[in-house]
Amino acid sequence: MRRTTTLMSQELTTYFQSPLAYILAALFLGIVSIMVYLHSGGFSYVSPKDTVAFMIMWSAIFMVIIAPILTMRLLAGEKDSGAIEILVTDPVTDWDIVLGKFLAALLCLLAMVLPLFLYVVLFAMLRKPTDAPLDWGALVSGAVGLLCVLALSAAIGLLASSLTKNQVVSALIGFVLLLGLWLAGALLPEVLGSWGAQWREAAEALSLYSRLKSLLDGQLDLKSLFFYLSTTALALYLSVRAVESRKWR
Amino acid sequence: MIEVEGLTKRYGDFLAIQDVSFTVEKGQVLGFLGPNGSGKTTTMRILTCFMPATAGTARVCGHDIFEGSMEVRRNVGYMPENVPLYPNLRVSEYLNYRGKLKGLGRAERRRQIGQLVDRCAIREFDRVIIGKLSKGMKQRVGLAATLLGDPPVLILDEPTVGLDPNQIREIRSLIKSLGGERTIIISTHILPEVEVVCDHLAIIHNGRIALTGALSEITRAAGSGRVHLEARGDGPKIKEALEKVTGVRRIAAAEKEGLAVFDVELAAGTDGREALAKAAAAAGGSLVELSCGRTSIEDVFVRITASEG
Repeated sequence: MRRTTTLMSQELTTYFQSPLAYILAALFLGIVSIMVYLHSGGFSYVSPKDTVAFMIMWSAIFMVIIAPILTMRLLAGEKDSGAIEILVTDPVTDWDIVLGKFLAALLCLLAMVLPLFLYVVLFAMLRKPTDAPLDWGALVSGAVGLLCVLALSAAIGLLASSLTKNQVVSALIGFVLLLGLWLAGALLPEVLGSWGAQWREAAEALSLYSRLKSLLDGQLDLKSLFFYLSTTALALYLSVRAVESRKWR
Repeated sequence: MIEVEGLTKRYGDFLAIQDVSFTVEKGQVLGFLGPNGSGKTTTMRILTCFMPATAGTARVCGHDIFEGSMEVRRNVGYMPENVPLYPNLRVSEYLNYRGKLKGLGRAERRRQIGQLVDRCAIREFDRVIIGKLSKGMKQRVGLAATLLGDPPVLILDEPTVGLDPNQIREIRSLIKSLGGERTIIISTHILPEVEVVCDHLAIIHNGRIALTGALSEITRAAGSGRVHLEARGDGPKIKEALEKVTGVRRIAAAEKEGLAVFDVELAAGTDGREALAKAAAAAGGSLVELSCGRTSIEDVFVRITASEG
């Protein structure tokens, strides 16, 4: 466990030293801010629940691009430089390595997303007595949902990084995987829906979009959390197997 | 300390190493020699638990490299070829990070790093970012990191490759100073390096161990010794005396600037220098020069790696 935190803080240091994370954060916050501004009619009409849901949903969707770029270096870079050889021959387990890097990426994504919640404070201050009140339950479950999406995106990005030693290829694999997950979630219910209602239901249960949507509606249900946690764990497990693959290739 | 038994590694259809066996006793410095692509790095990667072998076993410090992987890794300091470091970190940050990975506590880290920056002569570069260091400096930082945790076994893969002559000399003397207390395997294809740094030798060729043993024995056994002898005195008489020395196979005599010059060929494994000197003196010759033309490691290496193709 101590080695996991050592690896994590080493990766976090690297993030804060390189311009990449700052550029990504600036782009992300800028674009989402503009979108929120337009969506709320320049903050003139504020429907907090609606706008918060909008903000979180788009933040989650932007992770399709942000997470693969942020995680592309984590394992691919180590393999490319050969530093992986030092890492795995030190007394560190493969799980230490993968978890340390995953947590660093997750914390970095969190730091990127966190400033958005200042808007929630802003909405609370700008609210006119006639507006709908802020739904704290929906806010909390929505934030948990966003955290889940961040974790899954970081894990998928890390998995992509474990598969290659080329960082650009890693980012592309991560992008394709995440995009595929979102699109499958959006399209499959429509396609399979023609086969019958139970197919549609099953496809929706596996959809990133509908899972996050139900959390944004304020339903903090265990099924959704379990869905995100298990897929994240699966991606991390596969990353460990990919790091291990040096042993049986 | 290190016992390697029948290691074989297969990458798909390609047989990287085959039935590699050797042992290294405590305190020995083994030169692991071979042409490029002969399986040196593969063997080292297996010994450091980077990847397992297809067949065979090895024990390091009494721990099996498969079952006691963690223990082996705690006891082995491994420096891979080209010494991959993190270019964005400062030297002190990197050493601290590696110390943590090796599980050293704060006080112990500080103590060991303090010693190692002196030993590897990198104290003045403590605060420099690794990416700005020269290759020789990076090599020293890598070596310092490898020595963290005070591992009894060191495995160094081509530690002097790509350095300039002065840096090579520094790294070699550093490695040499580590011998004795530690067991070291150092791979190289630079032959003079072996003679300077190592006391034992293993030559690997096409994935098989071609020769292994103590350096002194190998050079002695490999060369039918040649002794060059120059003396002032009665040439034919001295020659007659020299021929009676045991182990002498053939003598070529000549005369040069008033001196009798002899090239004596001795039977393999014998060292007849003393006897030859005595015989020459007994025959009334006063010895001017006596030199031993021993076969170099280079001769041995070339003979092995060129013949089998």
